[in-house]
Amino acid sequence: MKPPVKRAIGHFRVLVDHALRRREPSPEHVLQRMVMPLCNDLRQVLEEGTRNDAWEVLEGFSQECQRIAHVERS
Amino acid sequence: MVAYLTDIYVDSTPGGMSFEIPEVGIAEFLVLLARSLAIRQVSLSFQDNGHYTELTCTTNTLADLLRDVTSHLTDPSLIVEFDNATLYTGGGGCFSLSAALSPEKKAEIANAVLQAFGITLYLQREPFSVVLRDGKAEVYT
Repeated sequence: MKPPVKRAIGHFRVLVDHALRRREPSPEHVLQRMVMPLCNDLRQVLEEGTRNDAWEVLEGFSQECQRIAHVERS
Repeated sequence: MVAYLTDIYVDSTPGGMSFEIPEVGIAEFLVLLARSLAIRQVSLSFQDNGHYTELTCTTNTLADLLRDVTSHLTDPSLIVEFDNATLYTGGGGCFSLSAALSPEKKAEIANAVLQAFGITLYLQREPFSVVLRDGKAEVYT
């Protein structure tokens, strides 16, 4: 797996994990630590990667969604 | 490790754990995590001036390696790969660990990390969340 693909999936995972937290992170934290890094990864995949790389990113995102499919929060 | 009583977060998640670690404590956190996971080899990769760099070492030499790459420990491009676990970061001490860990192991890691910051807790099972903010600890189990 190419580095930008792996990082994109990793940064999506960080975002998902924050969504599960008991204490909400600040909007600045979400923007700086998750959204901006993820935007950089996606730009890099689109500019330098292949269609297969883009597909791998989507597959990785989907696996992260499956990881939390059964999470319950009151 | 020196006690920092602000903005520390340790959380069990499906398939791993989540952490907020003060920037000055990241190197010690990584060494502690490597030891807790009882792994032999650690790989660090990060982007440096547009190029991807990957460095590999043993758990015993990790602290020395981290001293050489201090500026990259807060970089969102950093990925730390252990034998059977991967640590992702958004930078600045914000980490997500992907690893198949037992609930007991997660609790053990959380206790060890918190102990390193001067906080003694006896978490025993998941799910749990520990937040240390403004000198106050909140524990959710």
